[in-house]
Amino acid sequence: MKSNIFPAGLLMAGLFVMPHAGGSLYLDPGSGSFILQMIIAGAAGFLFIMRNQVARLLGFTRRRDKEKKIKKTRSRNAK
Amino acid sequence: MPSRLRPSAHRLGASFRDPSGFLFKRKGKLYRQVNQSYRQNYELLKRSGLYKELTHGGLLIAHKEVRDQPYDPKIAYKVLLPEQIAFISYPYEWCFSQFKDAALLTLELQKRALARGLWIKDASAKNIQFHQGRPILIDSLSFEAVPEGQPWVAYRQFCQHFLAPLALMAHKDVRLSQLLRVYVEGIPLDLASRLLPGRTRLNLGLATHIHLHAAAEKRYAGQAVQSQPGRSISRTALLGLTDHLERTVHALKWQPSGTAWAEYYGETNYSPKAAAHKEKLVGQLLARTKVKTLWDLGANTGRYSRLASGRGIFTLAADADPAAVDLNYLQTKKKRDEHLLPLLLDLTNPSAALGWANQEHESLLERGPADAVMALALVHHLAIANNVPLGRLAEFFSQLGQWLLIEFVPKSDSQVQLLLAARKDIFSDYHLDGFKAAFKPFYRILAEHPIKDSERRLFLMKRNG
Repeated sequence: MKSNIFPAGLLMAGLFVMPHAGGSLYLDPGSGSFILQMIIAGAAGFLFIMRNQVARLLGFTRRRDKEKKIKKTRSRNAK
Repeated sequence: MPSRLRPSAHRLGASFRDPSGFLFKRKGKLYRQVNQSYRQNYELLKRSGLYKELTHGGLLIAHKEVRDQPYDPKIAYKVLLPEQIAFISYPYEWCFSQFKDAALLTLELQKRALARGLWIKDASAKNIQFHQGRPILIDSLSFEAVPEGQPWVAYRQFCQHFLAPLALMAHKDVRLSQLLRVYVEGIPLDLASRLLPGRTRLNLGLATHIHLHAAAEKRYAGQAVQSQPGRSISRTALLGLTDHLERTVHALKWQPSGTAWAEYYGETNYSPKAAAHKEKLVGQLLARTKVKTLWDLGANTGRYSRLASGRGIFTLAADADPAAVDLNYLQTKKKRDEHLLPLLLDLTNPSAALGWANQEHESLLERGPADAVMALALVHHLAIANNVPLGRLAEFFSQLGQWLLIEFVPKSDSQVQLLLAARKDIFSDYHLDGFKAAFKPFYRILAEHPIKDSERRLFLMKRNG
């Protein structure tokens, strides 16, 4: 019996995968694994970039706030 | 080459799958032959700075290139002498936290390799060992240049070797790691998917990497994938996949059901005075032995194992309770104890020789002997709860080490009474004289000390002959 879990549309998208080329490939990577990776890797990559961007922005904001605080403290001390 | 031409060397039975090289032993030392076929990748590993980064960070075992005779000169490129590992353990001997750390290390290696244009071409749990208190990759031939646009070749292996067992341990039952004794090449994803509770389908990571993965495997079993130029996986996508796997593993947690970790700290059946006296005696007796390696059997959370490891003795702390081993490992990590290795071992069924020709995984006995064996508060569990005659116990211990530090727990002890509460006492030989008589054919008793404030006795013995 074929599994209904795997959406047919996603499978179609994944069918077009580059064949195994290069690398030592002494392991059998599995056709299903290759296809699944082709489907999810794009989304995972996008999420990865987004997360990094958000982290960078948050880091920038925190750094800016910290610098502001330091400046304030310095000017208070100078007075 | 016929083996008679190199009588002093033998190739390891576990090292045959990867054509990049293999392990062999000569004069008690473990060497790795790198084959010509791996030359380019080996040079890239060094040239890229990845080897230096990983060995300096303690993520990859360091090695020296040596001029020793290769095992198979016709195909050899180099011979490496890696830093030697004190004890090889297998994934079904790891507690949950060890397993999780090993999985996270594998993903960290993949991330760092990707950053330098390489990846790990295999993600076998066997390639990770615990060395000086932390997980480390022992296979220096695991790296290769990323073939442009290709999906990760070891993705399925990672899911079978790490993610499936961890998910089963966290979401179903921690004892399911023992499935790896049967499935030495990783838990089949369809089996993991069937065993995992339905709620795990709502977990994005597990739904993708286990359930959907299993469905894809089933759907495309035996089919060749078709080519379409232009569709490929970018380096960022590979990093994204690794990052997602890492988040999925991070989210897996386990704690003994119905208990808190803190409850495992309590030492059972000892008054503080008795526990302190036992600790003092164990320390004194250990000092007499001057051993380098010790197996503490029934180590619990490792309180007494630490007396040995604290003296620089490499100590294997074995216990059958996954929670006790986990707690021991967490403490070992926290204290950065480099000489202690907690492992999950059931002495009534010790790890057997497994895999191809029964040579891929060594049995517990094949990985011995140690210099000394310590068996504290253990004899009654084996002799009474498991019906192992005392003579058989003595014989077994004598195969594991020359020295024996052992505690005898008499029938009058409340722990033994508990074991006998629901069964008939058929153990007529289980008394102090019977214990000494059973051990006499195998050992000389060098010291015998009653433990204050208890009815238990501590013995130091040395194997006959």
